[in-house]
Amino acid sequence: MNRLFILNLSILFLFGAPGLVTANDQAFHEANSAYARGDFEQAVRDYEQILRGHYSVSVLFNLGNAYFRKGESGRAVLFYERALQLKPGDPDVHANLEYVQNQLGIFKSPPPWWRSLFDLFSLNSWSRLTLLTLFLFLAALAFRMHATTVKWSPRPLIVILLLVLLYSAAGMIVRMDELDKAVVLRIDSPLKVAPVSHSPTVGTLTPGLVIHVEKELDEYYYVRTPEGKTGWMSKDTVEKVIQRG
Amino acid sequence: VRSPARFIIFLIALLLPWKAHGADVRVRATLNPSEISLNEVTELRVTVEGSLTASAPSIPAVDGLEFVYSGQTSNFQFMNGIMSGGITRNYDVIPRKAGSFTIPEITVEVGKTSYKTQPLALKVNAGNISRPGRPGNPFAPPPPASPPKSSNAKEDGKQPQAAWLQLSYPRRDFFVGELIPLELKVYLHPNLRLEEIHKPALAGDAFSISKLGQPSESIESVDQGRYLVYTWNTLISAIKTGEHPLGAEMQMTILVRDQQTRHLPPGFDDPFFSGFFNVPRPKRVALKSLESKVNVIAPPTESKPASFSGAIGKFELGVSLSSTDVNAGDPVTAAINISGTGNFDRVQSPELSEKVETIKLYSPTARFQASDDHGFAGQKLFEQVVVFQDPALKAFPSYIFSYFDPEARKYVTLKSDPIPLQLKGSPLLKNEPSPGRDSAVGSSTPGSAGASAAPQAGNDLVANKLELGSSYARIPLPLRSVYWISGALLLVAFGLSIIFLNHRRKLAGDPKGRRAVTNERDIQQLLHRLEKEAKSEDATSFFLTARKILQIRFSGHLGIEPEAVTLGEIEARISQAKSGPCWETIRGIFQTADAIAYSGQHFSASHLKEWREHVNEVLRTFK
Repeated sequence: MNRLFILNLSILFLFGAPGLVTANDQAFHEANSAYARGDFEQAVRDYEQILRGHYSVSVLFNLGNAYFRKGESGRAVLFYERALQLKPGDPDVHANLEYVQNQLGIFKSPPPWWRSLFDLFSLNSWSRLTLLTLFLFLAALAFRMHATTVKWSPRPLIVILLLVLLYSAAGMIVRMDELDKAVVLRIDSPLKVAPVSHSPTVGTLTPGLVIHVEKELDEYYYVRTPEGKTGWMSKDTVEKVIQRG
Repeated sequence: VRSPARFIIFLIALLLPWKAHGADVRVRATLNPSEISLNEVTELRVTVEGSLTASAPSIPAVDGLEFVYSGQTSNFQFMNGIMSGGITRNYDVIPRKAGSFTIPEITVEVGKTSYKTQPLALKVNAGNISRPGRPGNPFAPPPPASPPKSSNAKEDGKQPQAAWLQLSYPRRDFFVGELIPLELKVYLHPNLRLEEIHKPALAGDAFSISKLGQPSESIESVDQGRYLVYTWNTLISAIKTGEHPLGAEMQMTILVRDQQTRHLPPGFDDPFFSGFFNVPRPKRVALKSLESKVNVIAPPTESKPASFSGAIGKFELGVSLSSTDVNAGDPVTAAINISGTGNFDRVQSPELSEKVETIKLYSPTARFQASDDHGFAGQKLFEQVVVFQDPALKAFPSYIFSYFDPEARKYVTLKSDPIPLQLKGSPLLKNEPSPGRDSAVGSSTPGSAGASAAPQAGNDLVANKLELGSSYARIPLPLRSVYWISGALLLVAFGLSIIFLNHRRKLAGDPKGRRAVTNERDIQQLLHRLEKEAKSEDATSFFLTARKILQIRFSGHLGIEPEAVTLGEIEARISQAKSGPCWETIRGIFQTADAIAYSGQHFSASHLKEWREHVNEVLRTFK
């Protein structure tokens, strides 16, 4: 039994894993071909199929392009935002996101200078770094307390680890706001006073606008726009960048 | 709630001593206001201070005025064991004709003494007095009509009706899509009060009605009767062309206060007592208004402007630019404000009067600010981002907005003034291709994945990536519980290590305690060895080990090293040992251990086991 399991694992390791990558590569190539011949419907279907097994920046980026060519600019922005969530510094994604939003009449003001300090890594990378530095920091601290007879002092190392820990924790907290980001998908999406269908509206939002979800109730999100306007939006008209579950 | 309160006051008035009757009783009458119009009601108050048992005042008849009792209030104080207080009876004074009136003295009996108030003057003007907020109100109804016969009305026309519903609207012909102000009035006899109301149902299916808010309350005189009037202002919208009936039916629950005073025993027929026994009872009724035929027509199709989007009402247009002195290519915001009254839900963003190739327009956002409760009046603000691509452009063209004016029965087209521009910079080329960009549909540039150069937002998309790249987890780490559990475990492990370290440090700072721990551990190991030696009948080793055990145990008591512990030391310094029952065991082990190597004395296993028990007893005694 154990031998069979090990044999299977070996086969999977030697042949299966490269085989899966090849299949994804092939599908990715076919999706790109569909895009190149102008069959954006097919390209969108292919990219979305690949995403089920291979969630990568390239697939999200190309899917955003395909949606834009298909005329669904709101969804294009959504997938660019998802790509940036994985790789915040990707210049291609930034360029296309800005281009599509400009086409939609959304001109974002530049972020504050300190924001670039935390755009180095994705939320996952900051989270890993925080956990790793927390481990190293605590280990160094414990070592310093236990080992009283060592010749060298670990104090400089502890200070450095503490600074890295604070920096990575700050990066993690700053990027945690991605968890509540959402993108308006439909034209003239109404912003309502109350989470009911017959509620009066306080205005309409442009597709591609990135907003923040503050809470949700049944089929509605309570959102805040970059200008600070708040209201309820139907979940049909807006989608979160990071889907939980 | 009021009736029990009155009852308590009444009991207190009966039970407690009062100030001497007549000594401090004062009676006065006030009229507020003292000048009214013919369609208004003023209030007469007759106040008796110093008594709660005054009789009901006798109101003299005045030609042209009607007095209707509307309730009473009481107050009392308890100071130094003496009660004092008063009672005020209120009357609504309803004028029946204009002119100046004098209300003569009003007589009040307190005990056996009569008191009279001063005469009061009242001026009644013939004209209607404008109420605040009414002029210019789009909901203002037409002049009051006689009450229509409703399902609740009696048909003989002699007795007054108990309640009816009346609709008021500005015209009898409407346009499809038009919002029409509608006033609903429910007239109730003073003995009735509104408890609950349901949304009115309009006759037919040609109109839809907006929600009702809170009603306003007033008193109106109709056909010599005084009525409590609840007024709602709302909107209806015509949805079908043709001639249709316009009427409404309202389901409501009203509180009916029965006239039970006549059933009260003699002496209790004063209005003061009626409140105790006269409990209102709810009654569900349906009031139906008169129906009138109204005509609903569609706005004319001829001469309909191209920019008409269905807006019906009266509107104004205003346009402004966030900046007129910018570089070509910089975005500016055009604020288009449409204000007025009408169906704002059909007001769409206006369009430019002319198409200019070098002006790029983006989808506008819309925001509506109502200035009334129903969204009939207000302003709708559109914000549209505009990019001027050619600095040679000298003016921003006009916006055009069309609506249908139902009063004038014609289309109106509003046009904003052109806005002068002062643009700078060089013209932007339209659809300028750039290297590495997806300028031709479907083209892709190899090697764009992971490009290090930072592309700027240009005239087209950056081309697709050609390498699949690494796969990532779809759900970020902070959303997974395993991440936070790992962090918590790290902190717990660190906490445990701190506790362990503290324990070690505590021992390090306490040599006696540390030695005690070490000694105890050594004793346990030696006891195991002792058992083995007993089994193997190795008496020499047995007694040497037993002595070692005792030396270790007594070293803690004597504060010296175990090797320095001798029988003499124990005898000299531990008096408990010499006088206690274990002394023989201690002495025997020490002496045997000294002698056995030379004596060759033999001990059986059972004998050695007995010695081991004695050693355990010594250990238990000297902990």
